[in-house]
Amino acid sequence: MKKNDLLLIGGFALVMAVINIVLVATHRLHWVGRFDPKTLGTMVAAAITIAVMSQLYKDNALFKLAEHMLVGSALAYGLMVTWYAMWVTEIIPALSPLKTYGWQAVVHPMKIAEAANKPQLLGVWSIFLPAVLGLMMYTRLNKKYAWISRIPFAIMIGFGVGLAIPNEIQANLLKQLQATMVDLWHDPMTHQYSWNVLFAQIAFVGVMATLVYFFFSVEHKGAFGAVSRVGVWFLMIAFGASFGYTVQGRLSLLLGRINYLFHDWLAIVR
Amino acid sequence: MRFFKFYLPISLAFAMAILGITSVFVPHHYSDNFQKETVVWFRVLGGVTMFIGAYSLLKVHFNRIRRQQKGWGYSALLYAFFITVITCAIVNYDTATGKSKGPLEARNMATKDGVNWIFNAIQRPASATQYSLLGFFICSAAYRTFRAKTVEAAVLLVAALIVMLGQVPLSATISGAIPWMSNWLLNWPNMAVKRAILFGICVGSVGTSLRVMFGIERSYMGGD
Amino acid sequence: MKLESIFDVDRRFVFVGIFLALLIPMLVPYPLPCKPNKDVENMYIGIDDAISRGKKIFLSFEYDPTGAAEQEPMARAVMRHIFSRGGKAVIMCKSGGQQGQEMHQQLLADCAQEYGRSYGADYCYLPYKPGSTNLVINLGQSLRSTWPQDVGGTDLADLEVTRDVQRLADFGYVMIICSSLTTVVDWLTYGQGPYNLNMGFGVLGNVTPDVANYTNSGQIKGLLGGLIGAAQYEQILLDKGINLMRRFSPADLASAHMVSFCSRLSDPEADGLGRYVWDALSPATQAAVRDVIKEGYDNLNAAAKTDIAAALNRVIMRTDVIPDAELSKAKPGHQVASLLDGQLKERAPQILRRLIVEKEFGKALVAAQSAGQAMTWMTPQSIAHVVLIVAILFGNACYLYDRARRKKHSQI
Repeated sequence: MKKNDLLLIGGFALVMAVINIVLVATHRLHWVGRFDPKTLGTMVAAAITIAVMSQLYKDNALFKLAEHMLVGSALAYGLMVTWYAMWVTEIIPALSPLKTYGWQAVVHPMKIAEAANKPQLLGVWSIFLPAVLGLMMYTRLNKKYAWISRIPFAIMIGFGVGLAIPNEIQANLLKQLQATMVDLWHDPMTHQYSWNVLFAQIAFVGVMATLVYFFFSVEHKGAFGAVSRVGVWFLMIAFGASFGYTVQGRLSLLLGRINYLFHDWLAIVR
Repeated sequence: MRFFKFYLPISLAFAMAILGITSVFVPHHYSDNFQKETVVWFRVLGGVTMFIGAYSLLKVHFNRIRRQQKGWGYSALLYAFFITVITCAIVNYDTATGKSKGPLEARNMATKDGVNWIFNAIQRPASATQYSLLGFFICSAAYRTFRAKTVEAAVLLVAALIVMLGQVPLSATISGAIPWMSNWLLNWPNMAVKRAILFGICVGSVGTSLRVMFGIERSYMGGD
Repeated sequence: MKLESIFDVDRRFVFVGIFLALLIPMLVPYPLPCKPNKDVENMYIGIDDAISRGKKIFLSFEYDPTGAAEQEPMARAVMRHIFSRGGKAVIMCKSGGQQGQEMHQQLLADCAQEYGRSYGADYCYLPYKPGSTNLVINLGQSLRSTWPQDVGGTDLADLEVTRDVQRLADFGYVMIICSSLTTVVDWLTYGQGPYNLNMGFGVLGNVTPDVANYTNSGQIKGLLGGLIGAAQYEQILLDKGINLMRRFSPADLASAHMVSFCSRLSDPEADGLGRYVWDALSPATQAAVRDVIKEGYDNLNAAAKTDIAAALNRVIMRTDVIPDAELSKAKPGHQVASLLDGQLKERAPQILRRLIVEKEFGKALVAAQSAGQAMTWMTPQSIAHVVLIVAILFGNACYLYDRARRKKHSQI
């Protein structure tokens, strides 16, 4: 860290301390008792918000500080969540028959699992086997033995693609095809031509033209080129819609942060 | 050795893919149970492998501290926060009893302890702000570069402006036609494009799945 | 000089402009009405229909602090709807929401309190479990083998709300609040597809256009797209009088007017309503209220606020404090009056009592029929959009003018 960086961090901390003292003195922030972790948390969170926003001016020590604090705590938080969600509530309880039934739980896993009312069908083996596969994955960290990790990957990916092929075709391809191949001349409700039929026709043209645009095996010339050009127009409309929604979404999130600073911390926005 | 390094993984992938497909199509309780069990396996596997990603990241920062490379102070800070949160998580303080439960007892993530404080004071504002900054960048880029230089760009521009205006309630006070047009653009032309793209993705995904199944696509095996 | 060169300003000025365009309208909250679109209406109808068929609702909260500004109002609006109708819900947390578990539980507890619902009987929360796609497949097969216990460690078989549900297909409506298209596709592929579920989604604004093809094909029955989706759902809650059915909660006590509120409560000469509420408070809360007056700012702790809200609720739930004969004092507006004559007829006494209490304490209490957070935020959002649109149009006008001038010069 350079001297300037330390000065920046120190100066920022000082400014934030002064602002917070003023806020508490003017009762905009309420400090209850001798030590108030909640209010202190609000103050620190405001400082972190400003530190991250300072990146907008230029990359600086404050931003880096906040970023590394975030990565360190998020990494630990992630491990903690997985530990308590998977190990403590699923893996360790599934192994509990070992304690009660001893080796019987290994020799007759299915019977014991049923008796102990465990959801794992193979009892303790439902944990042992994937645990062995999981440990095999750690060989990725060593170049010499990295090939061992291919086995768990092959099992996982193999089963994944096996499930994906029929489900993907059913849920995405067939259902979407079905929704495209509707009656393009009659409304299903009134059996007459209507605005919705016109829109369905436009959508049909859009689907076909976009598919033509992405078909690169034929040169985009003549009639094919003209259809492909229509596809580009449809694509532009879709990009425009995506852009409009993205602006809306991002600004909403920004509103959340502005609200935090000016409502929760400074108490200016009521 | 080639058998273990090459043929075994490919055969396993093929066998598992066949079993996966079968488990969808065969309405027998054996296949149901197989699917149920395998899916549990993969979740357990995820739990067992949770340290791999953390290890790589911590190693990079450890080396930076050890070699005192540029910015090692930040890496030390990262470690400090990592260790603090992990310690609080292991202590697993129970607010109801005022005692530590230890890492082997269940934990409610809403427990108000050190982890929770760091989460609310640092992690939550930092990650939310990081994400929200994109709002500034996208608006700034639009303001400076969004120009109707060609007919296609003009179509994009008009669609974007209609959707941007149509998605806020102010537009309805100007004219009810604006939100209608915005919804129409979203639900018909935009929908058509997304559907066409989905067809491409779907055919591509099924194609890749078949390639994996038959051992043509082997990128999951890493290098030779 | 090129006209367009006026756009060559430092981007930091643009950032300040965007910041101000959002901040200034926030200082003066002015919620605008948000007409619900068809997808939002479909979600409302889907949930309402499931509840009226006696079916339970399954929700997956897969949002965390990063997307909370858009997605928390969605979750709040939907939960208010479910609880107001007496519906029962099972809420789970999957990848994407692991960092939001505290806020999920807080939101559920708040909404349940507003409508007098209880944990275990009306809703339960299933904590985060890893395994995104695998979890959806598991849920389709068996809820209890995936989550044997809830967040408090109680077996699902022992909870009233989960007693008669075995798998996803047993629920009347499934609503997912998530942030990515991949998650939507996962749920549709492994949840909706195989079991033909009634499924709706609440997604971030930028994901909304990407799921349009699924709403068109009928795979998604109801969609809340971004903050505007949440605002439109909040509008439905206002139109249907669902907000009116709320009880008082600690959040309804407006901090800015707390001193005058406490003075009014502890006034020894007060009679009727004020006196009743004061007597209903515990000695500790009474001391805290006196302390607020002495200190001159809102330093009430959560327990005191809960106690005050409970005392206010006692007023609206009982018939002796405000007798039926005095209900005409409420004088509801035209829209509320028509709701009370129609679908809210059964709840009318309680609602009228709440209106009387609100009137009595003025601005110190947040009105039941006030707009939600998403609706309030749509005004600054509208202003920012308009500013950006004007800037883009102006930029294009300058560009086209410059181009025409260049063309003219080159012809000369």
